[in-house]
Amino acid sequence: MSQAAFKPHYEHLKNKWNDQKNTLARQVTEKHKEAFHWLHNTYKHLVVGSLGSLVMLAHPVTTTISAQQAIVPPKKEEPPLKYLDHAMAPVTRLMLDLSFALPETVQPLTEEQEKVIGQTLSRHFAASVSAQLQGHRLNTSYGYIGSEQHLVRYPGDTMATHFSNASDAHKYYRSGMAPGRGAWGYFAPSRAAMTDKDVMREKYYIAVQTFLAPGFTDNIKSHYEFFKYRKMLVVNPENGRAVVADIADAGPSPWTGKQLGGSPEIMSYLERKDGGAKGPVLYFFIDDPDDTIPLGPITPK
Amino acid sequence: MKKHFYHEIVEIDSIHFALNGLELTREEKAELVQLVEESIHHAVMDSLLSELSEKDKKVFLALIIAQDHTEIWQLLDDNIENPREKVKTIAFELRKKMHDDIEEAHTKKTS
Repeated sequence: MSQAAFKPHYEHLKNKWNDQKNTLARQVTEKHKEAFHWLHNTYKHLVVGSLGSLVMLAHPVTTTISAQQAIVPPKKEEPPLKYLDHAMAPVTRLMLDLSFALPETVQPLTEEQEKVIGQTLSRHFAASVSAQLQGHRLNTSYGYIGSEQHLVRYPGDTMATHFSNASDAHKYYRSGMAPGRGAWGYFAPSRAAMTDKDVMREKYYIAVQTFLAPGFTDNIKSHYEFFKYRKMLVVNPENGRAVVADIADAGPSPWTGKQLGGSPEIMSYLERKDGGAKGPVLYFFIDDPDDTIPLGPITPK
Repeated sequence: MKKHFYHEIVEIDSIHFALNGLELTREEKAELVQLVEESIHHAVMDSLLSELSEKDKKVFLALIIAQDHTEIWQLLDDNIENPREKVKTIAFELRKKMHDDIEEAHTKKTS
């Protein structure tokens, strides 16, 4: 046998550490089997994702649960979700639910995943949230978000006129202003005509890849009208922070490796960064025909 | 190392370094490092779960699934005396044993 095929020092260490790991795994699951059994059952009751996703998420602890064929059920089952409801803050419950449903890598979601996540977000935010609305959808609903600059709201709007208070100016001035207008032009024809809604539309805007939406080139006008200021729920699944945003620009370019952009205010609230530290968000349509849900930060119920 | 709630207080750099002294391929080393991480995780979990009530065990496990590190430490601080020291000690003892194992592995090398 060649040295490459068999390394006694490696085999020795691997076998020893594997035995040790298995012993420790058996020990922890046997000693605390009621708690692990509860976790296993709780997962089933959440009705999101698959058993595989729970195993992957809780690695390495729950891998030992699934491997255990003979877990003795506890005598009295506690109502799992009720228990969680009492034990956790709403934002933690949201993160927990999303962690079950999301894939391990940032990638376009399957229709089933979008459906489950849409239901999850609708439940947590008491709104009608979905990846597809009125026959329209984007190229993805889960992607990396990058930083956008402020948009010019009316002819003559500059960084000097952009902020309504010193605090916002201090926090967001350095993001600067985009050289051109947003994809739908000015938010208002003049400063005098600008409404509070226009201000909020710029403050909490996102840029999405409308040009990559399925069917976009077949009916550009229809897509253009649908996407204009369309409300979306943008959620950072890693901290549970969420914003009701509106689509006010198109971008970023596919080569950037990002799927959408957020205004400086959105990026700050979601605690998302650009560049090497970029992270993913979920972005789903909100069906709000009567315009009752205000733009800006929103917390789970 | 996967970012568990204790990743800031438990490191295995010395194990990486010691394994570099063995003749291992990148894949072999990665496999061994994974075994190290899993063993430490099981040991840490057992140690902490053993000090929690049945009710808090469930909250703890759910928080781990949610990866809510802030609330995990809040729960541990509220219910266990010096949980960070406990985690460090468990990891230290296991790491020490693993260093002995690596030393022993050197003697198994073929000449």
